[in-house]
Amino acid sequence: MTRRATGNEAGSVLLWIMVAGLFAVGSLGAATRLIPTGALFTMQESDTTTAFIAAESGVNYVAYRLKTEGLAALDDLDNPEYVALLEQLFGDWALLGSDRFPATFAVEYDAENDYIIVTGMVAGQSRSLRAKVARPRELPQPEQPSDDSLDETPPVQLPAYREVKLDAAVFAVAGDGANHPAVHLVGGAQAYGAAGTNSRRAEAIKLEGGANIHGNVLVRADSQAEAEAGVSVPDWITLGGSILPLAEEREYPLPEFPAPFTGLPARGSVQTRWDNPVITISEHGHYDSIYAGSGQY
Amino acid sequence: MTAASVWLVTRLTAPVRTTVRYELQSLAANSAADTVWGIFRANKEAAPGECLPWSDGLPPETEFRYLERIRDSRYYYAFRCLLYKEDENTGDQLYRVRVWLLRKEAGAEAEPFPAEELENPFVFEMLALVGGYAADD
Repeated sequence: MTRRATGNEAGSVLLWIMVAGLFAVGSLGAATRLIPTGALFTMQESDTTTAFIAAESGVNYVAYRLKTEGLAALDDLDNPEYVALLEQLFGDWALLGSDRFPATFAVEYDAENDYIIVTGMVAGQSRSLRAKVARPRELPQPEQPSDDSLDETPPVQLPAYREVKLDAAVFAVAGDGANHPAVHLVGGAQAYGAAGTNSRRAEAIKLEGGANIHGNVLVRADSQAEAEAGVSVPDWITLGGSILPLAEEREYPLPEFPAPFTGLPARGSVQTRWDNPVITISEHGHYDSIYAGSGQY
Repeated sequence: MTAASVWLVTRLTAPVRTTVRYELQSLAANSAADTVWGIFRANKEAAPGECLPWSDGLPPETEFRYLERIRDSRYYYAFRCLLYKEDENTGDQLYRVRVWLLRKEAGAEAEPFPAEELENPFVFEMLALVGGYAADD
């Protein structure tokens, strides 16, 4: 048995249809606005990647200038006119960037802190990279003792320091009787720069805990696979550089240290202690040992 | 009615497809740039041989190397380099590098690159220094 809808019931159905229709229209309207907005955000993120590539290219450019011209290039980079010229050069050239938008970069030199700041720019997006200028270290030159400081000791002729090029933060030359692992970093130890070894043994370089190497890892090996087998790193640690095979062994000759002074008065040993943490050495003399540490309790 | 619905759905999802495309391209470009810088860093004396000679056009398909899988896409890259010349005294260490990216769908690795990819590859340029620039290098 069927019952015909009354006028009120038909109106109720129409009302629901209207509400559903309004909801559908509203949803579509929101979607038409939200989806393009999301797309815009993603495209801006994509442009940020291009800006990063431009900035990293700029760092390569600055490094090239420093390699070819030495530190004198910094004078240019610190010159606002040159910075503007550089920006114009790459801006006009439209060398960098994707096929959608050309990119450029600007260089700024923070002379006070020795930082190069390179900003990559594309389509209104920018990314800045900051690089520290690695200046060659100036070796401390031994001072010739004056006649006053050495009462009765004749002047000593000091040999000049021999400069040793150290291009790795940590390098174990290994060899017979050497420790294994050749390089073993544990806990919070961090090596800033390359680390490597001549050892060809598996896991010759071992990192444990939170230890890391912020540079390339050089392992004496004939192949990439062999080099990688020479490094043991926890899964959750990402090395700062690449693992590279070393085709030949490296040598790091020690500097020639000056010969000890002769004729100095013997002073025995000095060492800090927990109750005497500061010791000032104010007299010249021959000390058997100088110990600075927590000392004996 | 059906045609209108299809048109509406296509119209509404077009930005999403564009979004995904750019996001994948962005990830692949970043990865390709890192790879190329790594190759230059590993070559201490001269530019890597595979990037010469310079070419404006798309390199042969056989030169494209597998980059990585990003979601359901597989990206391949090829690059060419040209010595950067600022003046006559310029050295031979800095190169202008052009990188091409081509994409295949997962499962279609054995297939040739799609025609639309070959016609419209993603291209970007960068600078790379022979031997890299890190102090430890």
